[in-house]
Amino acid sequence: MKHEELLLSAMDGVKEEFLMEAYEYKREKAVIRKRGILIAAAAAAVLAVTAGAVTLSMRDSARADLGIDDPEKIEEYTEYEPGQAAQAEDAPVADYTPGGQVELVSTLCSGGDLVAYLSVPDCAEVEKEALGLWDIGEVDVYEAGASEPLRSNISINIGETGYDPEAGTTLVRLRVMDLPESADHVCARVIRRVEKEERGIAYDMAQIPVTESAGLRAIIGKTVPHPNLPEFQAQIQAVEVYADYVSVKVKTPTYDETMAMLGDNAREKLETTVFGERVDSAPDAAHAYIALIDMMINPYEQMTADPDSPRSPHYILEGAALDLEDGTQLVLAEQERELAGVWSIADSHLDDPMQTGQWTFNCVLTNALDLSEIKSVTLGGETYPLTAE
Amino acid sequence: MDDSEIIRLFFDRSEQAIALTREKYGPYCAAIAYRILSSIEDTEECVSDTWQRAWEAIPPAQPADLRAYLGRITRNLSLTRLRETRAVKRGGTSVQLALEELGECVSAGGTPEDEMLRRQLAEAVNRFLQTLPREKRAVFVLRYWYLYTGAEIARRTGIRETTVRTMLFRLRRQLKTHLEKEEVL
Repeated sequence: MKHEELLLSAMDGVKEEFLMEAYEYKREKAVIRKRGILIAAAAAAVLAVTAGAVTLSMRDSARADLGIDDPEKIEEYTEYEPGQAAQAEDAPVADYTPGGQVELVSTLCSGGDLVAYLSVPDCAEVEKEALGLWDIGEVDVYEAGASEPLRSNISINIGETGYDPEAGTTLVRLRVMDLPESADHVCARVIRRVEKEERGIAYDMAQIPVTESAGLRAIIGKTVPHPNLPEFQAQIQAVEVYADYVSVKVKTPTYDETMAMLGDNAREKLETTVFGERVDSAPDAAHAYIALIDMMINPYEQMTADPDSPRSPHYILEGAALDLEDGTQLVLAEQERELAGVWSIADSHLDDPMQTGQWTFNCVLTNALDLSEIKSVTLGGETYPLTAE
Repeated sequence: MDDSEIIRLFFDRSEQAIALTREKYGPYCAAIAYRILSSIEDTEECVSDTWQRAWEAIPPAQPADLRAYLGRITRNLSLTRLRETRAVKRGGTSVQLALEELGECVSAGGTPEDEMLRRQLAEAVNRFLQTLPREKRAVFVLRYWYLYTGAEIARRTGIRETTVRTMLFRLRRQLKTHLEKEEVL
């Protein structure tokens, strides 16, 4: 039996829990739930006196995580007093221990991204040592005054950024990406799972406001051919800069146009361009097309396990940098923090980019930006001025 | 009817167990078989064999999850039939494409000691899956266990097809690294 057949056959040994999980899996954000919003200001006011000291410490941690020295300078950054943010109406979650309320410490609303810092109390009923990763149980996006959530293609990332052992509270950072423009607030439930099990602590739903954010834009209009496939030309249309990330709009030939352009043996040509001679058995042409797109923005070693592969990496965004008013440069690939410095394909709210050829690539920044300090963007050795959107 | 009651009928050797199983899980098993075999006739035979195998195995077997248990039998029978008939061409069926994709995760080589290696591989794959977030794990299992296409996974899960393809592309690379680290292949 060939190795790949053996691997397919070995898939038979996949645990039943994974089979059922996969069969029933649905992205939770697509579920429409009816939920009202309840302002719990009175109860929160009672808690404010004792919670104040804790939140100050949490607030410092949140600022440090975003690299913010002076919050006044970054209009998109908002800090909240204990109890100031509304609580979402809620119901217990089956099989999970109720963890109680979380406090909203601060938010950074930046273009389509929302970064929220939540102060989450320990739960005495579940041993901390048994707990695994942080997770999001539900997350919904609402327009102002709406009782039903929007359907949207958001992406979510959650992680721990600080812990106060005296108060027994963890600072959790929730990042919601690709929010629709009409978003008014997000309701999210933080979950802490018991290691490898479908139980743990489910906290009350938190209501997180989406506030105004500014942006800068540079029109580029530059066409860049693929180094190994010159007929595949990408046009960099615009660069947008927000407080927490940089976004690049690129137009490429669609999947169908690419296949037509390559003519006979299109699949083989595409696979050779993308995979060279490294892969004995290449995937289908659509996978190769996606890989071709990915190569425009990410170094090839980030896509493969083979760091020696001599492909043509991130040829579109190599050396991309923001130019600051003080004469210094912020090289995007040198950004270092979880999620920072790596370009990703944004999940568009519009049509499938494979069919439209219209791509948006985003890159999260290490530190939140004061947009008044950003002058221009440099791409491929050329400088383009940035103006307010 | 509840699965535990159907299993009790198997234990009582009541043929109603097969009728109820067919009614409840017939479409589920047929979907698995058809995706592998692309033939209505072969699918019907494999699904019919599934009920027969279940009848022979229960008791003594007492499946904790009847649906997964039956799906596993159907998948095995279908893959065996596919190997026997070999009526596939490159790019022909979902299983052939899945095979080609999985070929990226392993290095080329001679015939291994199949059964022992298969077990080691299964354990390594489970450990790999355990490390993944729920969404990625679900996408991987839907592609390489259920043999859904990217478009079908997108429809089922609500994840954009482009995202599914990108996710699978990267997951295969990760699995390759994982298998190399564990020195399984």
